[in-house]
Amino acid sequence: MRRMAIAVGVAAILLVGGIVPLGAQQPKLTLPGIPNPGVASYAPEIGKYGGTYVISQISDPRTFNPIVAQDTASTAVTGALFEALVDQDYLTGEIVPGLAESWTVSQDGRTWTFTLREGIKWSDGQPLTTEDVAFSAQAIFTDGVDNSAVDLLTFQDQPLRWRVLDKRRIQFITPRAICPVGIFLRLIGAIDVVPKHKLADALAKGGAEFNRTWGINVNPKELVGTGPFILQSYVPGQRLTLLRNPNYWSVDKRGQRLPYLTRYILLIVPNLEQSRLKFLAGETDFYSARPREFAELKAQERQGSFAVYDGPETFGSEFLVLNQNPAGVGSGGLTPAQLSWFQDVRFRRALNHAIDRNTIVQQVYAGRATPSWSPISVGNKLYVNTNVPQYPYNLDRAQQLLAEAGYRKGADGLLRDAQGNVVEFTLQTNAGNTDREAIGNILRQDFVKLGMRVTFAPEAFPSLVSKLTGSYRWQAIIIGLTGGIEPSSGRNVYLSSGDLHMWRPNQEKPVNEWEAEVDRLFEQAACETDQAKRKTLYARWQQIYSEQAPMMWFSNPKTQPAVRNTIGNIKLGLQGVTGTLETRYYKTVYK
Amino acid sequence: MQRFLLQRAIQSAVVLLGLSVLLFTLLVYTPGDPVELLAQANPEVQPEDVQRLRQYYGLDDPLIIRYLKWLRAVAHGDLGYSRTYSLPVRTLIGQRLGNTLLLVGTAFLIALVVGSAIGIYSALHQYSPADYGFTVFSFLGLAMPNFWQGIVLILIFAVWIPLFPAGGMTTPGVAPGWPMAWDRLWHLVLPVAVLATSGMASWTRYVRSSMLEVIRQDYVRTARAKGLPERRIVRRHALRNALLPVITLVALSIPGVLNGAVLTETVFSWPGMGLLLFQAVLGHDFNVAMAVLLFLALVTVGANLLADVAYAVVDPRIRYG
Repeated sequence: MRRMAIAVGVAAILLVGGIVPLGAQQPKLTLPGIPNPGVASYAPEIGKYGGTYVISQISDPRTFNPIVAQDTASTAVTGALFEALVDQDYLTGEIVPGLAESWTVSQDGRTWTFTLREGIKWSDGQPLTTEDVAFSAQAIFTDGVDNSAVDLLTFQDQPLRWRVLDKRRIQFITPRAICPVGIFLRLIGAIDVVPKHKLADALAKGGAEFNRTWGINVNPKELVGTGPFILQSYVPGQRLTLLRNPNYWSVDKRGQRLPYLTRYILLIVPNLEQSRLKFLAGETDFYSARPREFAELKAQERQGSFAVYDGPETFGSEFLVLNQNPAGVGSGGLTPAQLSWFQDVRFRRALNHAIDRNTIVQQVYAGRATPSWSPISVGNKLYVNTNVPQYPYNLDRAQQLLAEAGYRKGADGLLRDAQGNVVEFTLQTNAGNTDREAIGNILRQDFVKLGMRVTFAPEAFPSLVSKLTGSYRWQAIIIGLTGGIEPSSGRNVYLSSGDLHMWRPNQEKPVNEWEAEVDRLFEQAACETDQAKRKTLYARWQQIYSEQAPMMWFSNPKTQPAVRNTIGNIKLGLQGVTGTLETRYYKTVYK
Repeated sequence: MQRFLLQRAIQSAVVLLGLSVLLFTLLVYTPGDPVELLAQANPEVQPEDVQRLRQYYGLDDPLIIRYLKWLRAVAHGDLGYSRTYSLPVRTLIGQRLGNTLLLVGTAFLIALVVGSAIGIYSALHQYSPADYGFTVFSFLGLAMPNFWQGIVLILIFAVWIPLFPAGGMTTPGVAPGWPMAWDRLWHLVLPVAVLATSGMASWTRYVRSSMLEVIRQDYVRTARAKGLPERRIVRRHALRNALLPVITLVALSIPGVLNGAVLTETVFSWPGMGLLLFQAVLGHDFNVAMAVLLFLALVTVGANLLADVAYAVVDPRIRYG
């Protein structure tokens, strides 16, 4: 939530291995003791000090320890208290400096040297040093500490290594035997730096003790961080109150120390309905509305003195996938005929033309979604390839493609393959997800018009997942994936060896030439530290996936954040994020 | 009397034990155990990890072993740990119990007092316009589901006419002392209104019919014939007898009010036991769900026992033993 928007083309500069001269053209802004503070040059307005910003969230945090926090309810809090060496610009998704003011990478791409900003202090006044950074890394690699980053930072069984050079410089070294780690900066950005002087004792007692430390009943004074806020109090089931960190290391364009807000409150509410009512009643300043609520909220803007924004698309998407796995043939699964249809790209393309994306957008998302043709969401501006082949809704075209592939519609109106088998299959999704159920009904209607016999049978999520990943006995499924900004986070889906490569998982060797090419593209991208080059590789992958249509994406739902008019510095970024916490401020003119 | 009490206490204990078996079994067979949920949420989790976690939590033990382990811990006063909050369940319940008692107690008292008053008035003025009015009102109160009524009240009195807060129990930053007490009261109004209207409706019906029955009795007619003033007849002769069955109902209705609080607390995000139970069930927080359910069972059984005893104490015609 705390990014800077200075680093244009960071990656290109990194390649030549020089130190990035940050903000060299701008007048030099400083803070007492911090000669090179972060500058929030992305914020549209200069704010005022003071005020309280209140939001609601659905669950209680489970821990305040940022190293072991995994659930969003916990990270929503720790995100305001702790920082990492590098940050992600919320507007562009690029990696920008955080606690580290700069970094270099060696010629071979395996040694990264970070330099901390001078003079940063923990919220208790102790200086931040590279010892704290090293300690945080050590915590992640300590046996028994609950942290998922350890898998990402271990490369073919070899862990990441590091070396403290001096108080402000630290080196991270990825294994020599393995190619450079392409998304290394993002991995480092996922490690929150924690204070050694507060946590060393706990870590010395082992992983289990460390996991318990800084639990939700901790004395808030113990939670020492470098983030824009510090925790004042937590009342379980009710609220978290955070106060401005007077030691924060960023300034606005005029050189005034951030954050502007005095207080930041997260109310705990039991459900989305409460969250909405609290916002409408004026008790909270922010509500992340659902697509269907957009029009209704728009109509209440003036009366409720808030604005609901037409936000960009989320990274998630729903899609249709057909089972192409020979292991799925058998009772409850595929018939041999079905397997041959689903493996035939002409059949898949024909079906893709029969998916009425505009109706899905209108009926399921009340117009608040954008048709999607690629595994990368339209909202992921960094990586989406918008020039992939598209399959506009056209039943005649679908019928024609089917005819070319040898399928005939008989006098009885039923579609038959060349062997005379009636084309029929069962379409499934997880029961209870009303969006997916609605999509299923839209799809079924159109497939039936092509002469297919389609049964739509929603099923409980756990048993659906066990079919997808265990028994492989299924035919066609509508399901969704959430996406990260880097496509490599979906390796288990897109690599032919992946266990979530749904249409044919865990392939020992890629069965199709195009799957082999995708595997190669992903391996290349994994070793590519240049983001622009990764983008080219991923663009080719999206092209292939769209041509081969193993998954047929429907649409990317949009975001519609609603913010009270009293809150300033609203500028929409990726996935509808409305700004950063430290630049948010309270305008006193309204109300 | 003592023997009767002992008998009933033993019976209650057996019922509680049976209930705990039933609840335990039901919770164990709720689809989706915590480890499964974890595995679904995180595709990186390996099957070996799942196995290890299952063993760690003892999820693969037979049901009877799991139950006995749990029972032994509970018998030692150990309700276990909440997985969601990483806190002892006992601490959690300690935090929440007071809030629920405040909400339920206030609503219960208001419902009982106002409901009884209306009931008496209705009975004494049977078939008057006011009686019809109250009857309609009480049927409405009984027919409206709590959660729906709650949402409607929030919409009207917090969103459209912002008089009261839209749920929650406290306002951040309120000074301790009187301002805080006042703030608590202000937050209590809407949830108490919801809980009290449904309670009030049933009290009105009970007291009205009980009162109607009594004022037709011979001894009331005798009292009238003696020329006693109407006030005295109502207070001394009718009301006392009419409230006898109501006392039993008071005790018997306590569990019902507590159950009503589950939904009301959820709608108003009132941090009590009901909300705790709701979230524990959704989050597969087994120990918490089990403890709260058992608490509700305990209250139910206890209230029944209390009703029997109270009846024996106030009604001289009933003697046990």
